[in-house]
Amino acid sequence: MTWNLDNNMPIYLQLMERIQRDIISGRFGPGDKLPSVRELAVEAAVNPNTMQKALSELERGGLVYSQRTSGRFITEDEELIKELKKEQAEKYLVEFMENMRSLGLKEEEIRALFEDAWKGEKRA
Amino acid sequence: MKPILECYGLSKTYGNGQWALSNLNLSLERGQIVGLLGPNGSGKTTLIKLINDLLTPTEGSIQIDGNLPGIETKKIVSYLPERTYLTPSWKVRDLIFYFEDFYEDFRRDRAQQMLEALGIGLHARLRTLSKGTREKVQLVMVMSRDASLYILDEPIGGVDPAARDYILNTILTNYNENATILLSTHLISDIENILDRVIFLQNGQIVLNATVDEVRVEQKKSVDMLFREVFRC
Amino acid sequence: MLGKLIKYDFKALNRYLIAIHIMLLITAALGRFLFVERLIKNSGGLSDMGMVIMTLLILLYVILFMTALFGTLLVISIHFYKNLYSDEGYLTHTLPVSRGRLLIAKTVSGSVWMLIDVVLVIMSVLILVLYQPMVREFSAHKDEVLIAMGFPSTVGYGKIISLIIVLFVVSAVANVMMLYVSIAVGQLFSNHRVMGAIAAYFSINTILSVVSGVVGAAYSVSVITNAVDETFMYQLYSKAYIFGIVLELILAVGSYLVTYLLMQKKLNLN
Repeated sequence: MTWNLDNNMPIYLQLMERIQRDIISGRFGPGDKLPSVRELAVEAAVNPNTMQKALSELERGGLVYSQRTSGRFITEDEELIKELKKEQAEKYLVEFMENMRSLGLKEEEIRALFEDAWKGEKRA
Repeated sequence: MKPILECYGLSKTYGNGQWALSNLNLSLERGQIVGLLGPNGSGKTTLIKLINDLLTPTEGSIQIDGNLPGIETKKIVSYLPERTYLTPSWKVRDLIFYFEDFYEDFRRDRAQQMLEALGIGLHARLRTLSKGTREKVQLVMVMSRDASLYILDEPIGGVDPAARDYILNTILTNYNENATILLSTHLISDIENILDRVIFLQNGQIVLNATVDEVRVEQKKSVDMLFREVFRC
Repeated sequence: MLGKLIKYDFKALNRYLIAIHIMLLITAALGRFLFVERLIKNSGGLSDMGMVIMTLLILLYVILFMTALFGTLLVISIHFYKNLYSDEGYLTHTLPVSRGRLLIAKTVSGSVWMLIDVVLVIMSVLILVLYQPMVREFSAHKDEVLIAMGFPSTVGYGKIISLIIVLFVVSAVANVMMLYVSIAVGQLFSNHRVMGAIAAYFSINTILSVVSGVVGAAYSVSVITNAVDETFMYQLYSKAYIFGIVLELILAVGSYLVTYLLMQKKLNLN
């Protein structure tokens, strides 16, 4: 499973983003135990020190906490996770709007296209 | 803890007026994966040979874990040269016995496990193996030692992408915080993600010694891109 | 560690040398049973054809013995070169052992095989030519032959035999060291390593011959003035053997030191 890391941003930031997405999407549920630093590093094909840094930053943000001998766990704070999900969704929306506007479309056109796409998905 | 590698004013000439290394100063801590990067003729091979006591310095000194290159350092340095140093008539198991005989830190079970995962039989004669397989065997032997300093010279050059992934995977799985891995290569984009630190060598001198993150944040580009800029022909 | 190094050196040498020497002995035995025995039976008169065949056989066997001797030198040299100066050198020189030990292991394994080779070649010669008529002749004229060889009836064989054995052993070591030092010197010529080694070998050999020749001539001159008696040959031979031993010892030790220093200071693997 490649983690599709791009070469221009610091790796640990990208790792943080990826793990955050995994938490939001539910791949890692609240309270779940995270794999060890080494396992994650091997999976992502990155330096374990870098993975360690990413996890430490996530700890600071409260998304992850560590218990000295048992390892790292996802927070059980579902509110926090919901917050993050909302933040991420908003980021995607902003991106969507920017992209659509860059096509030169007006608001009604965007809305119509969006509803068609939505209906199309429901049918499929 | 003492740095695993220290070079003070290290210089080497082969007697033709050109200095392969000039007044090199370096200090590497333990627990890092370091990339030694530079074009051909930059002094990478010379530095690697000096670490392994295959060359003697013209000036300056080099120390591994506080010792001059010699028997004690060879016990804790595991070296994968660019070349294949295997005896063709041997079988794989002969090679395992050999490493076991001479290296106290050699872990037979680790080697056997890796060889099995690669589908390499213990009774295969080394000369019957393909070039790529031989290189993998050599890597397995080197990584199966519990060394303090691993020196891998072009470990992924000349292998197919799948093998490359396997090799990087092997390096990461065998990583331990008390050991340092020094990787010399010119295929930077492939390995950039596993490096802690990069050292650029040019004309026998260090022109950059920074962590990968420092490069990406301060230079705002990947190590690979920076390399191309610095070493533009 | 030294034992292990010697073990692996023997393993590499045995691979070719055991085969060569088994062939040597078999060929000698075959020659004895197929040809020599028949020739002995016909010893009453050898036809012209018989003479021709015998000459050819002698030639053949001389070539065979030279091949065994040369082949042994070659196998020992090639192993030394491959193990220490080719790609294999990257493994050998990064083992946690001193260069001195590496060299001693090569010296021991090489010398032992040199000795075995010389002994087996001599044995092969004896297998071929040691037959009844000759043994009878020898026994009849035993005393004269022995005196001419340097064993007077008045003195025991002990000293000469031990000198010869010591000379053999020291020569084997010296010969092997000469090969090694030539290869080590050859390494200094970065683009002509093999030619350099061969050149070095012949140069050393030449110097050796010159030195022995000069000393031998000087000694012979001083000896001619002395009385010739039964013990003459004995004196001559024992002094010659002792001189030979000393010369070979100097050669062996000198070569070892030079090879060691070259490996330690001037190693430059490609």
